[in-house]
Amino acid sequence: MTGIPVSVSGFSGTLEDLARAIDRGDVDARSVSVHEVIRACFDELGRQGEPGLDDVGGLLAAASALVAAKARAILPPGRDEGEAQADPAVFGSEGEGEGEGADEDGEGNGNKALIAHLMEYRIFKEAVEELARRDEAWRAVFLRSSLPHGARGVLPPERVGLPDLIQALRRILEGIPEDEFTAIPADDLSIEEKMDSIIGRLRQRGKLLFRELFEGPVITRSEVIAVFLALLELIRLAKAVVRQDSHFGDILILPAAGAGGPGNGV
Amino acid sequence: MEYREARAAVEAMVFASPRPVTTKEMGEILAIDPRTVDAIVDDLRREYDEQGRGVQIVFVAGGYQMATRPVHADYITRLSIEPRHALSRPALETVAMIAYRQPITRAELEMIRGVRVDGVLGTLVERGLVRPVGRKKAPGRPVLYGTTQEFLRWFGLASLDDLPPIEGDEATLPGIGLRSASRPSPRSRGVTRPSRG
Repeated sequence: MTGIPVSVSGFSGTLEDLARAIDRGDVDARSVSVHEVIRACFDELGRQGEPGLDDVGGLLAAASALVAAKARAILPPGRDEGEAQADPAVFGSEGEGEGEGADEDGEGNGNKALIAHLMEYRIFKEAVEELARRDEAWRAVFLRSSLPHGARGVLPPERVGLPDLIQALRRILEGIPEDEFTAIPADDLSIEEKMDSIIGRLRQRGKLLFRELFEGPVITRSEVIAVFLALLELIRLAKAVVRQDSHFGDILILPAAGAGGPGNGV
Repeated sequence: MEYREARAAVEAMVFASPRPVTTKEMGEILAIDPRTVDAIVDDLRREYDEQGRGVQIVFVAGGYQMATRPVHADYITRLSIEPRHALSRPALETVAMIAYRQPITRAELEMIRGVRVDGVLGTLVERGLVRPVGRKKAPGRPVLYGTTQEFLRWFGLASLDDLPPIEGDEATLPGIGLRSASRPSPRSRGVTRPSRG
């Protein structure tokens, strides 16, 4: 037993209990991120001091049980008990007699779709290996146009000016098509709402990367500009500050240190 | 225009251009046959190799560009010119899926990867490797993403046809519609891999 408490949507208990809950169907396996749960457990173990061999072993065993439980819940059954699934020969046969009678219902169709995506993912993984090699090889090649960019390392750390923010905004806008400009209803462009949204995310997470402000549903130029104006207003009202910890590093948005305190940078 | 003069002009244009410069562009500017431009570039590359020069001419993103050689990367970084950051594994996976499946929506990417891709997608857009290219004619009109010229430069690819071949095709993967990358590239000139020397 690990004894380390974990908490996911609709469940609170130990890792072993979570694995059992998934097996029982009490917890939706698809809503459980194994990676995040196990990582949180290891973080917690680290916080408890130097872990002993038994602690680590117990955690690994519990983590294995969780992985197995999730696999049982979301992967299709093998041809017989104890046989590993993911046999492409089975997948290519359109499930003739392989699905234990489940092929004709929604679950069978869901499994087929899952298998198709798993196969596609596996194929991409092979292509990724080659791209990773090219990524590494071409990092050592400095293309003519990349030199001025790389040599522009004169921005003092810890200070972000308005020109830097505008430059960062320009890079965001470059990734958004021109024709999206008029596609957004005006009532979606409330600066106050954007300010509230930024403050809410800052309260929740403590800090935000500048580019994160423009991720998710923010996809039009108008909305990007609305978010940017909201950020400027928060800086002006000394509710948020911006910082850059290294040359060319990400611009960070942080809550202001104290109510009414001066902004940093802009 | 004499060959010697055209050769010097091509070298100057490739050196000065902040982006890959195409054979067609240089041919039009110099009023010479594009095949002559290619021959000139081959000539220059051969000369750079023979003389052991510190620069090379590479063919990326559909054009020629001046670049350093990998063997000198260490010296260059000592000038406080940092190499670009390597892409993370999730970013590589995501950009690969976009490259082969473009145009593709975020939801489709998440379906294949099995995890959310918001953050990774934002990073790829910010780095200029990926950009929105339109909207899918489907409920909600989701944004479609595709790769950019910068993507080709990043990986030293002459064109999308130079993407590494992948297994499988539409016949064996129903409903997936993989882009076939197995055909040879018409523009692959054998100069897209960085020369070690």
